[in-house]
Amino acid sequence: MTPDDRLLAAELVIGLLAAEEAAAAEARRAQDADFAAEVAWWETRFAPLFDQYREVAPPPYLAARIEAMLALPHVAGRTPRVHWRSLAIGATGGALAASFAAWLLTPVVVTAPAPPVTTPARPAGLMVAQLAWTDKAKVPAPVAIVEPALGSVRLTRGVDTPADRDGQLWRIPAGGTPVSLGLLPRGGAREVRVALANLPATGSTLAISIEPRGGSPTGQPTGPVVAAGTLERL
Amino acid sequence: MTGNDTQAAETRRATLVTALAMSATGDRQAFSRVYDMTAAKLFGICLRICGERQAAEDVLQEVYLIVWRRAAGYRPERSHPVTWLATIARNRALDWRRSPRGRAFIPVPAGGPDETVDDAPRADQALVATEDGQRLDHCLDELDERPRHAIRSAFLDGLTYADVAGRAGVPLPTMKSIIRRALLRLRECLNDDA
Repeated sequence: MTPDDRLLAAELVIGLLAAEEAAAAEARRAQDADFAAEVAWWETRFAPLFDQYREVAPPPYLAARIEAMLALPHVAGRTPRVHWRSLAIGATGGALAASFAAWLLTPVVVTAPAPPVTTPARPAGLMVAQLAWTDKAKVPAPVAIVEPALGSVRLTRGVDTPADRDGQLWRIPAGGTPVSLGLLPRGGAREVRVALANLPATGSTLAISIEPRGGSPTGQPTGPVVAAGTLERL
Repeated sequence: MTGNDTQAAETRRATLVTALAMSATGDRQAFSRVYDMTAAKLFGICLRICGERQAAEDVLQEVYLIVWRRAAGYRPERSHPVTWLATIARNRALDWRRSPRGRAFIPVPAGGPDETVDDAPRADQALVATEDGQRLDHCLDELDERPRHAIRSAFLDGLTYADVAGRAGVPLPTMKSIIRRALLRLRECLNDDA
């Protein structure tokens, strides 16, 4: 430990370093036990300053949002920590669960009445999304077929839903927040009718969450997301 | 602290330690107890560092998911549970502040030298051992006013060297060397008293 090392540990703990420097110091901490011990030493010394932070009650809906996320196996599991900012970028293909974590961790306006945002280049042709279950499941996940001309989203197979719950279909524009497309019909039908202005665009994500009967009370998914996939032009 | 306060603080600590241990086994009820006992504290941290409510909410959410995943890694013999939780919250909030989004956000208006300092904690909110606190106070008091203030506000508000230099209207290299010198003294003092 040189004096510079000790300083670096202090700077890291206090938060004086810019992003890149902090990342480098964190990396060193992960590899260098002496340095890690020095960081821990400073953390302990500075811990009393936590008393200076005033308590502020968070909004009540946060607890529910967090609770809902614990139900997501890929988010809640004992997986190595990944940072949502890095996830927000690589949200295609296999990184499906990750993209969900990203989505769930991005700002969600709970009271949003799901406005039909400024319609981006209106989709004309057929679009499909191969959904994937967020949990391990034996049966194959449904494919969602979007037929803009008919204002219809069809699923190739149904989604098991507890008797007192409804499945709800969402579109999530790239980088945006979920917008409801409606409830999955109970019983045999597997089609959801969607207004033209509310049709999902290519590249957006389709997702199904399990909600209380009648759909999410908040306008945003509140229950576990059971399946999701990216929409592609056929 | 009075004897009662001390006892209440210890009960609280023990309850939290237990709830964290149970959370590590996947007990959601225990986890929601952890949340209820600590969310206001952690939200206060996120809010002060992010300086923006929406961001603070997002960060808090992320923090508790991390806590849920890492609960098994908490070691009661090493730190107070609130310190452990607060460190996670503060680090996540710092990450946000250093992200492009966080940097674009201009926090707390620059003001007089004392605007960020010290919301005196209420006695019953003093969560961390006061003895350590007195030592830190003592050693910080030994420093000159400028580095003392810079170090405190860097910690509490999540300010980088560049931020504190900007606020104080001092060139960055100057501010760096002032703070570094102070940190070396601080380390010596904290060590001596140990």
